[in-house]
Amino acid sequence: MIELKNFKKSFGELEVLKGIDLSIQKGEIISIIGASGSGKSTLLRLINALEQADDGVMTLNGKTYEMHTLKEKDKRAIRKQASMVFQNYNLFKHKTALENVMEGLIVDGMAKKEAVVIATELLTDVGLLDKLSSYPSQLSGGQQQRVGIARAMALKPEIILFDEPTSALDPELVGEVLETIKQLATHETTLIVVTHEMKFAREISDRIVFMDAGAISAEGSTEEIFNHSNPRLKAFLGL
Amino acid sequence: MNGFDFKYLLEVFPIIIRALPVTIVISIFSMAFGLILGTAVTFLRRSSLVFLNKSFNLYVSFFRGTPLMVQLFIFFFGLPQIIPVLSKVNAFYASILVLSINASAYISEVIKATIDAVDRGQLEAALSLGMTKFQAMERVVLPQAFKIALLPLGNTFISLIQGTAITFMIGLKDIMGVSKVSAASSYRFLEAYLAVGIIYWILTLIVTRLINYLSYKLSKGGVI
Repeated sequence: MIELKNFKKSFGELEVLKGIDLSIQKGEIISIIGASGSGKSTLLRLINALEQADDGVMTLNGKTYEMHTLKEKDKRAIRKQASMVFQNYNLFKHKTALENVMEGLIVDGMAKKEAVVIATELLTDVGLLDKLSSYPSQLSGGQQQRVGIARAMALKPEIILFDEPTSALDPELVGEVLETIKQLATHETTLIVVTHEMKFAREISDRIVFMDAGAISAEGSTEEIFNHSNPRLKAFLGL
Repeated sequence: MNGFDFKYLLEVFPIIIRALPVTIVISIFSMAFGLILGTAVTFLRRSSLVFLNKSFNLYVSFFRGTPLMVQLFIFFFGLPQIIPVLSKVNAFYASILVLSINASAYISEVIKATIDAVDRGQLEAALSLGMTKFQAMERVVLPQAFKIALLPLGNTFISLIQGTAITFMIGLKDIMGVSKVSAASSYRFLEAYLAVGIIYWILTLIVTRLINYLSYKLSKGGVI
């Protein structure tokens, strides 16, 4: 349902992605793990077209995109199908929690009234009904990230991309965000989660992808990954 | 004629204040046009077209790099030499035009810096929701940039109000123009100029209050 072929990206001399191939089924939950600098986040950002790939082809819902020559229209089409949840939440600081979730719906042409209903529902789902009119600065990191997840869900995307959703959180707030993601995992949405939370990855993933130095070094079911013979992976997992 | 004539000071106030609408109207219109023009210029400077961004960087450089009075004289006395139709523009409109352009250069510098000060993640989040670049700017980046810009823009506005004082040199009857005439006819220079100074001061205090109030209101949104 989403297929990546030969995703490449360099920043100057530094080759961050060396040709990634990955194919993901509808509703599948994929965790991408790997050391810092292995290219995990860059891969998500290429999928979301926040960075322009140097090369690569993506097939999304039967439509094929040449990733190094994307037009603005294509980028928007991709982003509406693949929402992003950011490491630093990136909630719109001048808007309330409710307005943050409504924003994507309104620019998509939905009437404000309808958007309020949907956004309220989503914020209720993530347990923030009492925070509708709070500004991001009035919310804890965990609450902000849950708003971020609701905002991504609002667009009813095929895929939600999580870019280290708990890395910026205080340890005691990680749980509530992971819980929210787990709830999502029971829906039909495809989830691609870049994470350092191994226990979490093991619990929710249908498949785990291990990236090392800009390439996929191992992939498989959680069982396969945690019993893999790949020495780099073993070292990374501390096995 | 020596000494300080307190009575004249009190008499000249209402005379000068009658010209206050001219100063206020010129200030407000110039600031409004300056904001629109300054924002537009900022985007032209951020254009990827080298010709555009170079031209408008030059524009900002020139209008910040030369005295307002020189710009006013070039426009009002100089340019009609080669563009005769400009001699029909009266002092009032010429003042607004030149002050707007001058302010737009300063405003563009402020807005450029504050757009850069808005976290890049805000733009990325907007784009990733499917917004066009224009929508992301309009709905997310600019509203935050303007909040950050409020205090420096307030300073620009205060400079602009005080800058209107030179428009008397092209014959405009603003508060400065009227006080100069009063001073010259009464020989009470100190009293007349002190009076107009106090009026400028009060104007500045009012604007400062207003800006502080606005910034307090906006701070509730949590950006600044």
